[in-house]
Amino acid sequence: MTVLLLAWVAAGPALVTAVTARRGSAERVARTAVVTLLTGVAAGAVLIGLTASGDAARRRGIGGWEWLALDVDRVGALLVTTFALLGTVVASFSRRAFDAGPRVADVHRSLCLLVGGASLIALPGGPVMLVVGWLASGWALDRLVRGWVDSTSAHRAIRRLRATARVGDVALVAAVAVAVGVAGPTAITGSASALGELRSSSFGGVRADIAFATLIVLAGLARSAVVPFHRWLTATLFAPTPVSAIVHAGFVGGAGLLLLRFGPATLPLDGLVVVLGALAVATIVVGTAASLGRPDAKGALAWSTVAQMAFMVLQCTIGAFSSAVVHIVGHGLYKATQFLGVGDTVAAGLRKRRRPLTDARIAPAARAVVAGVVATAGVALGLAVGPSSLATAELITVVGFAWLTIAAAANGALASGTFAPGRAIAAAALGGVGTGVTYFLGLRVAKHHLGPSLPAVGPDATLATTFAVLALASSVAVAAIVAVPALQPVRSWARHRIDRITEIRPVFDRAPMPVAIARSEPAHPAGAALRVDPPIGDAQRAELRGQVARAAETVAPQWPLSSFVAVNPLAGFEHLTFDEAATRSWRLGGRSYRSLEEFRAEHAAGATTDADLAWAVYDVAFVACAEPPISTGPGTVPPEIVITADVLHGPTSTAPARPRTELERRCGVGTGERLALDETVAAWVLDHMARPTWALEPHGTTFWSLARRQAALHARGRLSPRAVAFLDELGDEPLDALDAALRVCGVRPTDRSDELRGLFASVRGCTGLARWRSEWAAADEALPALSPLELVTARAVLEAAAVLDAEDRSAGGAAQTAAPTSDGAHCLHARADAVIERLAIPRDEASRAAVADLLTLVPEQMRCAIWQRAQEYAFDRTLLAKLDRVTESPSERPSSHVVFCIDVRSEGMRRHLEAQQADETIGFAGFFGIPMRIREVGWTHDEPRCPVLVAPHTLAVERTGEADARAVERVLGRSRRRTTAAIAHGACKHAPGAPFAMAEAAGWVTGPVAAWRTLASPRARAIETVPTSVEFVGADTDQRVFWAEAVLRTMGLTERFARIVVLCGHTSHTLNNAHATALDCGACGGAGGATNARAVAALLNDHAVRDGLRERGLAIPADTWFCGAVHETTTDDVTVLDGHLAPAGHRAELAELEQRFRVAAERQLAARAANLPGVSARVRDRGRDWAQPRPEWGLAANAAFVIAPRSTTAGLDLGGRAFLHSYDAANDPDGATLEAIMTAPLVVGHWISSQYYFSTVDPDHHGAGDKLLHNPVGTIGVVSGASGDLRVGLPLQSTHVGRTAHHQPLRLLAVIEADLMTIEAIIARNPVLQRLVSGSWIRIAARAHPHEPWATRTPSGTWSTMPVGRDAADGSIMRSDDAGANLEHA
Amino acid sequence: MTTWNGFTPMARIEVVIDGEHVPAVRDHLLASGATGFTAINGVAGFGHHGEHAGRLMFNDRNSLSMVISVVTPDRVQAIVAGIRELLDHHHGVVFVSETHVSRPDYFTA
Repeated sequence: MTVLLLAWVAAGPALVTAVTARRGSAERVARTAVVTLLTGVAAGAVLIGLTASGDAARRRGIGGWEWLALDVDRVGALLVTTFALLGTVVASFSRRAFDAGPRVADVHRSLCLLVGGASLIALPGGPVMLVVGWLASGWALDRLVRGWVDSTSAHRAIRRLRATARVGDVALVAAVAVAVGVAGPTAITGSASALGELRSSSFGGVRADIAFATLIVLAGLARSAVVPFHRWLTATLFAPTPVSAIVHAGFVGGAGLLLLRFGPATLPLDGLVVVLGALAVATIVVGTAASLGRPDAKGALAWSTVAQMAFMVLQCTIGAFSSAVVHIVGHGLYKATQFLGVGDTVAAGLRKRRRPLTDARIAPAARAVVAGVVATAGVALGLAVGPSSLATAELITVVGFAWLTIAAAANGALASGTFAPGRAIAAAALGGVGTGVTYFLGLRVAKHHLGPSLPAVGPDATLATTFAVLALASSVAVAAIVAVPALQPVRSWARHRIDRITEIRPVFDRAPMPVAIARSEPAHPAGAALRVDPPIGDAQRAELRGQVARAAETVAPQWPLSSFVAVNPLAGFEHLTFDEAATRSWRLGGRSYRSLEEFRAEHAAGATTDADLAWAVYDVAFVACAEPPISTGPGTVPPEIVITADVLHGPTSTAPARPRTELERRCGVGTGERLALDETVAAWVLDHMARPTWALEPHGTTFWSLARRQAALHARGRLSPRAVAFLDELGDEPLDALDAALRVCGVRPTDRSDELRGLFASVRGCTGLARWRSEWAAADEALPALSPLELVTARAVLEAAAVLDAEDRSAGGAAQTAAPTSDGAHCLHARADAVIERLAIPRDEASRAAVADLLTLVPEQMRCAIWQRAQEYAFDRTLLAKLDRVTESPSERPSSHVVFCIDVRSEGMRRHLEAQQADETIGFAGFFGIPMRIREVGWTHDEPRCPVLVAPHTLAVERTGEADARAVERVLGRSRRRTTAAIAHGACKHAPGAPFAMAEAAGWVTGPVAAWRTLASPRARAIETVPTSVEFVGADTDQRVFWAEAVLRTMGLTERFARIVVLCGHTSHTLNNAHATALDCGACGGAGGATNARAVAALLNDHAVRDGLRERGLAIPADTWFCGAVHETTTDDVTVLDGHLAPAGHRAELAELEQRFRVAAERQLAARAANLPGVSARVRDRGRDWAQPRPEWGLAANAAFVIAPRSTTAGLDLGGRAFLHSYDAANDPDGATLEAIMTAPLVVGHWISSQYYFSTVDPDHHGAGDKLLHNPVGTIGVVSGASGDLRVGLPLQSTHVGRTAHHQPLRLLAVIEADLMTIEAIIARNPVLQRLVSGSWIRIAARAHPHEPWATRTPSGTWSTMPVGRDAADGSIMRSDDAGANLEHA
Repeated sequence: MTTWNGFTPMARIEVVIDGEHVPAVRDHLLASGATGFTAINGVAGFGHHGEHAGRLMFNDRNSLSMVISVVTPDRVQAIVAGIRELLDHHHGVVFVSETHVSRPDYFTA
């Protein structure tokens, strides 16, 4: 039985998954991997049981031939069970998280192999088993990590990983060869006699045991990323999150596994112990310091792993083997949970900011004293129940690091401010003492149970004690450097050294060195002294500042992820037409259209008709269509036919997908590679904004001073003296530095704007953030200041320094020249040939030349533009055909009015609700018309909850009545406990030395929780209602009446008030989702809209307000009650939030309405289920699934914005593709309401539409890329992999399934039921609308009355009707008659 | 230099520009030595680009704004040079005129 169990644990999952992969689908492979790994957990558990009984601490498994022996002992059983559990969790997580990615099967196969390999290393076995396990797990790691991110840093990291892995592989194989060669295979299985034989033999003149132990240590250090092998671990950050999780949790423990097995051969060698101990202590310092200096979540975790592995090596070095086993298991489970849940970073930051706070605070000194006392008590009581006989070294590490952990956690809990001082101290004491006792008790159990399977040897006691003390002291020293303000100079110097050691900052790396060949002016001659130009005058400064401001507009502002706001990535080009903007964007590296192949495939599938295409050809290629027909001898072929044939069948260009950017051209770096200079500036920005525990510069430092100092520091010793001198001499004024840098680069004054645009575009994520921070952020924004000027100056001075260095280097040797590049010419003749063949035109030179000449007027991008327009025509005619009907507005008083946000996700809910024939719905922007800040119960701050286009006018405060105080406090209490625990945990993570014992203890809890979360997929919870009320403060009655009237009139609710009027905001609760706020309400500034709804409902229930409204001719019936509610878009639950405030007479009707909400939600869920891909069948629960990359589709598929009475769209299934804003022109004689809608909600709708459009057409440039590669940086944003620029836009999973687009990228169609003259007048007096409409950023269709046909507006301002529906789809190419409504475009 | 009525000559710069560009103008003015400015949002009017709406109900960024600053005459050239760059591709105008102020110390850095 043991044999079978061992064989299954070590090889079963890998074999079964490999076999399945040959025949099954990717999903089947993934499912098989999960199931077989789970059986591995069961097998491991049985092995634990078998080895736990009696004296059989070690059981014989596969025996008979020592080379292939495989035994199991208590340690081995525990470790293989842990590995199988980790593998199960990660495989199950990956199965859902990887979506339909092409590498799902490969990932799961490699995962099983990795787990099997690690198990073979952990089990006592023969030499073949050890070597196979080692090499197999290394090979699996290589397969798992490579090929995810195409960047210079990623390639360098993978190369480093492979080099380190080869060192480890060679060392291990050599060690095994030495041992087997000298003492036979029993030396590997742990035979005492064989070890003795090793000691008495020599190998190549060296004592065999020394050679063996040295090689084993070398292999282990390489795999566990101990200094000097620490750099390879960053490669894992360029892999998807689950891969990072399994590598950091299970794979890197190689040193520990080897030292556990071969401790008897290693520890008696004092010299080796000294080396091991010294390297372990050094790595603890490096790993801890690097971890504290990382602003990104995954980077901090990765360097923490380095420190943790070093701690494990230290434990093995001092002979604390049972503690080392506890560490391997605890850290593995803990780190896997941390990596898999890394998407929660943003939500955690928001929870922390919004935590309930108490007024009273505990002074820092008092906190320190209390924390110290708690930690001492916890450790003292723990020792009383802990292991009875600990060696001095082990005692020091256990007690010392446990004390640090408890003290850090207690201090964090006390500092959180969530509880009153008395309760906080009690909680800290209880938690600290409980943790101490539990931890020590666990160690006692581990020592007792695992002891018989662990080596009974130890190093020299003095040496062990020395290293234990050194490790503890170094952690305390790091803590002091980080915490004591007076040590700032040391802190800066040490951070710089650590960055160099760890190569976190890839500045001036050799690989992507710019060579500055394509300069417009010769730069400074190589070797010549750098002449510093005199400072520029005020006028020049002002001019340069203006150029910077203009150039920064190239990049759209980017909101932090704490309040995601959709923007048009090309907003800076909105003064141009869409096609012109697309060309500009293309030059900067971004695509604006999908590929011809995609369009053609969709055309073949029926997405567009030939008539649509013909319309588009006329529309887009109107210049070419005006050319004379092509003569074909007997007849002629109209140009539009030639163009259509080319668009349909012409070969695609052989040119690259996009032109090379200026920087790529200049530097000779391939497309898609991220330049080290960009990465360096981005790293400084992240450090400046996210402020890690160990920041580069003290708080309050401007970004430019940080960049200036860091550039000078990093250049020293790496760049030529001239470059260093240039950086040293830069002053405090960024404009002067920018001017100097541009001069050094040889940029002519006339080229400066282009150069600045290129520099901004190269760090567009950071530029977007800088624009948000300097132009859009509130005055009380807590994030540090950052201006585009500082940013571009930092980037430019790096460029200039690199140019100087390159010139100096090329002077000494062969000059570097950028490889001549060609953007490729269109294969005009190939296209002409294809057209000639398709249209059967005679193949003579004249025809060929004529066709080619015509096609020069239709460049590659225009062909895509034609397809784009054709798809939009297809959509327009289909939608307008649906809306082309006459319906009557209802006249009866409905049971209720429900006002939903205009968000496309409410379209289905409204339809399903109305289908029950009782309620009427209204569409209105989800902030309900009053720009406000809100303060919820427990908050001491307030937050804006309105569209970013408008400044908040007022404050709405959530209050608790005395009667409900206890119920509210119950809810707040949970929040207090949760955030206190989270803050205590964070304090542990960021206190040097504290994470070691914390990971050992926490992993045993978080591991099973992670397994439960992954395998059991928890159910969605209903939104909890809190018995509070919301009211506006600081506004008098007149003001409130004014707001109320504006709200009601703008939403068109002025008569037939139902007895219940529900204002329904929306929100989305998702787990482990860095982009969670992208699913919230855009009209509420990227947050949930529940409180807005409640505040406005309360306003409209106010008797004084109603009296005022009545005086202004707006009478609300006395029996009408307004009520706040919220639509949870992931579950489709609609929760009434003001139920406790409902008048008694309305409660029965409210209950009936809630029932109708439930029915609507069920129908909506069923409709959404058909659309959502993935393996999770329970659509409603996807938001609670931490492995789910796509909890809902969000606003994907949006394409239209309908401004019309609900009667126009009621009963129609618009497929969740339309924003629906209620509007009745009859109630808006002067067009003021329409103007408000067109200049705000429509503009925001255009932003959202554009964000989805561009994230779909170019997910790697305009979108945020694959979610699984995301590495959150505080609440600011994400980077892909270990480093780089902030990602912009939406994640791939928001728009795609795998690499196939789910969202159909269309520019927004505004459908307006209003007088055309009124619409034109509004457009004419609003430049923003003029730009959007005349630039073809949005399209407008309108009709004045339901009896009229829909007319569409051309960019030039003429209106025409278009054929709609199937007739149009099958119809001729002819244009319809002009509608006669051609209006002069102002 | 004090004038006949005790007022000091200064230069008044008025910039009419889209609301979304006000932060850039503001930063530029302050960085160029202006000691303050006044911004008026929702400016309506008629001119080169036709009619312009006034204040919009839910949009503070896309209506016209007027930014007024009074500076010492020697700063005008630098300030206008930068604003010209900003206005290069956007709607907007800049006016420079002489003005007189009673408290010159308010307008000198």
